Amino acid sequence: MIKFLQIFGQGILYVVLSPFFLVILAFYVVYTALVMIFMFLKMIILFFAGKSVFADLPEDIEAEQMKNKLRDEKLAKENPQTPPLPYPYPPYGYPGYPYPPMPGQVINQPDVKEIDAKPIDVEEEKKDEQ
Amino acid sequence: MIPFLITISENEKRMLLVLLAAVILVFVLIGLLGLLVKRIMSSQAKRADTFMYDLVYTKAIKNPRHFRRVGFKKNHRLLFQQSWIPFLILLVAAAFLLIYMAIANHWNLNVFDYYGTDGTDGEGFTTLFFIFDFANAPKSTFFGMQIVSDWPPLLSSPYLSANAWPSYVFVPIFLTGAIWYLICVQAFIARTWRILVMSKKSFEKSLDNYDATKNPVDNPLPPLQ
Repeated sequence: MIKFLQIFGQGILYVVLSPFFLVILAFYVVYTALVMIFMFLKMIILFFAGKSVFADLPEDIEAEQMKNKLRDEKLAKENPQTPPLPYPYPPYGYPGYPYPPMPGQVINQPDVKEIDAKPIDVEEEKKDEQ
Repeated sequence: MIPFLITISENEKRMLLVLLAAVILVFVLIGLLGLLVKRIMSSQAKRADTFMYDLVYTKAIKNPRHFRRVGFKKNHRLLFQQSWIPFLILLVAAAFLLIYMAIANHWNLNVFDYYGTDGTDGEGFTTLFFIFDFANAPKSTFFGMQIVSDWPPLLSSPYLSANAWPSYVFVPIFLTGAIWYLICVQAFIARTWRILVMSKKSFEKSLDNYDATKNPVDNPLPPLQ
């Protein structure tokens, strides 16, 4: 019931204020018509100057740059990049450039196969040469 | 006062009740219409938030005056984008009527004429509607007031008139353009109002939730403007 009365009261208010609303609307109709004509002329002039009437405002460009900066900073935080290799030598640990062995470090080497060998007889070798 | 009320007849009482109900209904309907317009305007105004959000968020806008300047500029652009089609429709309709008047050399064409010379050759769009004579509607006296008490006499019934073809073309096109343009203007007014409100609100500093007794760390410094 209260809601109904509120709407009823608003109805009376709108009827009382309707002349003012109409005056405001009429004013804006005239104003917007002038804006339309002005924008149309501006568009034609800017068209022949190779520009657009809808080009970004300086504030838009500034905001876009700021957004890009914030986006880049966020991405850099989420995916940290490895620094580029120093020229001319890559650092230790880079593929093909292992760390140098520490003192006492045993380096894994391929197994050496033992074979049967006779001791070399020096005198026989000399004879063969002669 | 009371003896006067007591003397009204049963018929007058009924009429009074019907009249009261009709008046209440009319005001309620106007109130509902107003609410609808208000809702539509508030949804149209949200467009201003869309085009100003990034600028405020990234602090490209420095103060309320700057907000209003950029906001109005963008609002004018949006108005031009939205209403060039209805504006063109209005221009085409007006051009059509002017060209017809020039070719037919008929400069006193009345697009709202329903009668013509004998009630069958009207040249206006209203030939398609019932026309009532509201000025001569039957009236009754009620508490000293003249109130319409019956349906008004009929002046004209709908009929097609060959003379009215320019009006049949012009009026629907013009009305379409005019209503569309008025909706665009309404949206423009809504956005303008929103820009004026938000230019103050976005830079408002409020002490409502500030508590000086708290640790300063709990009251962090506001972002720089």
